Parts: sequence; C-alpha cells; structure tokens
Amino acid sequence: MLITYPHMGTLAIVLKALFIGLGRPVLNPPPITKRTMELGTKYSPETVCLPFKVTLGNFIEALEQGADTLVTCGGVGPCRLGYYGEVQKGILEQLGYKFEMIVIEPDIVDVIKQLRKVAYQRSLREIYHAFSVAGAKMNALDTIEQNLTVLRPYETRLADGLWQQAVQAIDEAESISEIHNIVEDTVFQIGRNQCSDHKPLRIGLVGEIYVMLEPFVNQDLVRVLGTMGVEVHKTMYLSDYVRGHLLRKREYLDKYEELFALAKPYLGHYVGGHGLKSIGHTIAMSQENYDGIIQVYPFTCMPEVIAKNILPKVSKDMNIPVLSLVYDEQSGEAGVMTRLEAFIDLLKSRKRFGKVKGL
Amino acid sequence: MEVYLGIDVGSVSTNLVIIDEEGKIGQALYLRTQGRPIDAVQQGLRQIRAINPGFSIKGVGTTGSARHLTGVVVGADSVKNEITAHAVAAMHIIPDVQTVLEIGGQDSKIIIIRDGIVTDFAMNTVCAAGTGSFLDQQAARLSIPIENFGDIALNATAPVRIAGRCAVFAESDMIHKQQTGHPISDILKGLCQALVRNYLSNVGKGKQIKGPVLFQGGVAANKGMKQAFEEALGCEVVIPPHYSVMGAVGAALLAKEEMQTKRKTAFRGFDVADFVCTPRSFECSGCSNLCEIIELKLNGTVAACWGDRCGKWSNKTTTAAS
Repeated sequence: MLITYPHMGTLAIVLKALFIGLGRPVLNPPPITKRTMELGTKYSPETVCLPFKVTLGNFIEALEQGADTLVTCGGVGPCRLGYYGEVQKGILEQLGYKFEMIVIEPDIVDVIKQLRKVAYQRSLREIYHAFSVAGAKMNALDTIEQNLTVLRPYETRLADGLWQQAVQAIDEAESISEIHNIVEDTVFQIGRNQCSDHKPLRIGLVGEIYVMLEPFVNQDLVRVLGTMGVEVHKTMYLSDYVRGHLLRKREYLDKYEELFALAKPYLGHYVGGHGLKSIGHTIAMSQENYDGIIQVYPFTCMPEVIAKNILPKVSKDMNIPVLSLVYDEQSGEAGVMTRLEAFIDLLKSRKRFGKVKGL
Repeated sequence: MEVYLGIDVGSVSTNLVIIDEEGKIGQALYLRTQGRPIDAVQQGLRQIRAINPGFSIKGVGTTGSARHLTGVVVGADSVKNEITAHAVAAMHIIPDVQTVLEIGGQDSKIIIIRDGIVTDFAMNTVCAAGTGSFLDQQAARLSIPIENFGDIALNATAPVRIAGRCAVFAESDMIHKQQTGHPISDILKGLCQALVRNYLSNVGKGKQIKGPVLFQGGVAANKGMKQAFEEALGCEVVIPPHYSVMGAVGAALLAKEEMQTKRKTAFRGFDVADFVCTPRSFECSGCSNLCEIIELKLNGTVAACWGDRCGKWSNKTTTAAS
C-alpha cells in the first residue's frame, strides 16, 4: 500500500504526517506543473471544474510513480465535488491503472471508519497521536500564513523566505513540541520585521476553497497582490474547513450562523460549496472597513456563480468594490494582471478621495 | 519644446501620443502592431523624431497589453493598465464623464466614473465577439474596406437580427442572411446592433450607464456602432476627437503626473528606435514551477528578465523603470 492524495496548498504536508503516523508509506504527488494540468484536462470532461482536472492530474502523476492507494474527499450538497471521487475512479480505471480509492466523506464517523481500514494494526493511542501531529502541522502552517499577511505587502521577499523555511521545517518536524517551536520562532521573526505605521490596502479574499488555497491554480494571487503592496486576508484556511465541516466545532458553527444571518437579505438558503459564505463574508468585511473584496472560483462552479450574480447588489448596498476572478486551464495571466492592477488603482483612488456614496 | 510621451501597445494597434505641459495633444500616431510590438514602437519613435527633431521628452508612460515589455525597451516612468489609462484620458477630455465605453482590437471594457473617481469597471470575459478584430474580419470577408463599414450600415432601412453571442455563430448567421437576399447594409447594421446587445448584456451587465457617455477605442470609428449604442442606451454617445489613441493619451497624462514627484525621466532617448532588441524566452528548470522566462537584450546586453515567480532572474537585472 502506497498512499497518495491531491495537492491543495499545504494539504499534502498534513496528510503525509497523518498517514506516516498511521504507519503507512506515502508518496507525495509531484508538484503541480503545466504537465499536471495537461494530463488532467486531457482525461476530464470539458465543462467540469478546475479542481477536478488538476487533482486528476495529481493522481495520474502519482500512479505513474507507483502509488496504489488514492485518498480523496467526498462531499454533500449541491456542489459537484461530492461526486468527483467516483468519476475520477472510473476515468483512472478506464486508463488501465490498478489502485484502491478511499473517499472520505465530511463526517467524522466516516473518517474514522475509513482510516481504521488504513491503520488496522495501530493502537488507538497511536492513531490519536498521528491525528494530533497532523493537526498541529495544519494549525502551525495556517497560523504562520495568517501572520505573514501583514508582513507581505512591504517585505515580500522576506515573507517568501520565512514561509518557505517554515514549510520545510514543519514538513520535517516529528513532534508536536518541535512544531510549536517553529511557529513561535517564525511568528517572532515576523513581528520583529513588522512596521506599525504602514497602512496598506486591505483586501478580503472570498470564494471557492480549492482555488483560494492552491497557488498554482490561482496564479499566486496572494503573492502577486503582496508585491503590489496589498494586504490579502483569506476567508478560508484548511484548518477552518477541518474544524468547521469535519469536527463541527462550536465556534465555527456559530461563525457560520453569523454569516448566514448577514447574507439572509440576499440569499436565504444554502446553495452548496461556499456561495453563501462568499456573500456573508463580503458583508462582514465591508463592516470591518476592508477596502475591497476579490472573489475567486473555478469556471462552471455553480455555488459561486450564484454568489457572483448577487455580489453586485451587495457591493452597491455595502459600498465596497468587488472583483470576481474566474479560473480555468485557459486563464491568461495578462488578463488577470490588467484587472488586478485596475482594481488596485480603483481602491487607491477611493481611499485617497474618500469613499463615494452610491457606487 | 518639453513634452510627455504616451505609448499604448495593444493587440491590433500601437499608438504614440505627445502632450505638452498643459496636457494638450500635440501629435498622435496610430500604427498597426502586426504581431511585432517592439518594431512598432521603434517605428513610431522614428516618425516622431523625424517630424519634431526639437522635442525634449520629460516623461514616458506606457499602457496596453505590451506595457511591461515596452516600458523596459523605451525606459518608462509610468507603466499602467489600460483601464486606468482610458479613464484618465476620458476625464481629461470631458471632466464630468460618467461612463466610458471602450472597444479595442481584442477586448472591450466599460468604466464607470462618479465624481472623478473610477468606481467600477468590467472587461469582456470569455469571448472576443464584438471587438475590433471580429469587425475587421467580417469586413474583409465581404470585401468592404473597414473605413466604409459604418457608412454602409447607416444606410440600412430594415436591419436584420443577428445572433451576436458568439463570433462563430454571428458569422454563420450573417452568411445565412446574405444567402437569403438581405442587402449588405441591413446585415451590417444588424451586426452592429447584435454586438452592442452583446456588449451591454455581457460587459455592461448590472452597470448603471449614465451620461455623459464616452465611446473610445478603434471601434468608435464605426458610425454604425455609435448609432447602435445611441439607440440601445437612449442617450447621446460622445466620440472624442482622438478616440483611437485614448489609451496613449492616458499613458502620457499618467507620465506627466508621475514626473511631478520625479526629477529625471527614465527614457532612454530616441536612439532606442535604432537599438537592436532581441527578446528570447526559455523555461527555467530551477524548480517545479517551470516558469517561462523572457530575457530582453538591448544592443547585445541583457536589459531585463521577467516571468519568474521567485525572482531568480528578475533580480539579476535592474529594469529601466526602477
């Protein structure tokens, strides 16, 4: 059994720690490249969304290198992702690969059941430890990334360096105390280099989780905006998803209720994926005096298409500019750059001349 | 005379504009890019030098899809996106403008301005139907000089309805109409109406279009398009005198603004027109990103590299703009 899983930002580091802890060898899929995209696109239905294509590419490249067990997530609700595991399995079987596919549904009982299959020789204590280490790595990565948000606009290179260093150290770390030390060190470094009198533009990032978290797919959006001197706040991190959807922690459910209430005048019910949260976050962030919102999602993403068509009204009522960026394998970098530059110019002049009423 | 130079290098045309200290447009050049942006810019510079040998350039601004490349070649003081450039130019011509419609070779945009600030904008997303290139192509198919397109459309008596959602379908629809015997003028007017319909429902979706409305970009030359816009919007659509080079006007104005705080222009001088520019691209194999790096040599020495995510190549050279 050689386990592999798709890439989504730092997800591979977390899953690697988990499965190694459960006593299984893992194979990180090769980093996403143009080849991954080409392979995935070639064997996918044309109108399926980008996450499907890229993760399929990940699987093919990992299978080529000898992986035989694919781990992916399922899902519930109107978003098509819930069915992707099954469809990808069918496609890969038709291509002649021999493998087993483990689809993990967003339900903690199912997670444990599936993972017991993987870790049948391990004691409960060992399983608990594996989860703790993987969880600690996930939280550590997210904490560092969140802290870097405020450093990046004026120390882009330093932020990149600290991030790369921390990612590598966390990937290699074996114990929880080691992970804590890395976080402490990095956060200290960030704090030391921060300048407090700097007031950059603040942009909130809303939309679909995969596009938001995977820099290859969103063309390094957070970094690009960072080099333009903009502070970018993602509304979703891996840890939010795990704590909210998997562990159903109280604070996350409360936060969701809050967003739901905010979005209510515009959208009264769940539409799948993160559509409703995109609207709720836009309203919340306008109240927190963000300068603008960028919505990102893959082409043909149904929940976000619904949100996109509601956002102009929200933008007008809340007096906050919103830019929607749609990604697929055809996305040209030049077009995205032009829109980003123009959006930043717009936000800057608004800031300079005061916010205009009745946008 | 001390002047500012604005260069807009787009997909179809390369425009150079000279403005003076008061922002008055002195000279405007409209050249075809023909897939060779650097050659087009060099040719433009040669023309300006030949006509006005006495000009001293105080600042240079670039815009358009080749703004970064051009910025490095000529040495630009300001490198700005097309939307900002067009908005600045529009406000310069008509200070109380509220809506800018811009249709160029490959893209179309709408810019909403309120109280002198850009409050919203949009660009065509997935399709180039309705942009200059498509009109060019259709005119060529009917062997009508593009300059006469608009006048012929104005002669229409009963414009036909053409599906303008997609360039390919629009073309087959036009052929169908022509084969059933509709006069060319009715078809051309129908095409203009279809493109305007498509523009307003795609690019202009959800935007409050208020007058004064300015229509600029190469397609504004087409009187049929102007008339179709006026019919659809129910208000007057103003076409500024230098409609086809407004991006370059904006770039020049932005350069002028930039030079308020800068001492010396980064402009390499008119000699750039005779430089040997050799760009080359290669795939960096330093990591898994496999970035496509572009390296630009001016007279044999590397002037700039870009395209890398990590800065390995772009840090090696200092760009002229900085």
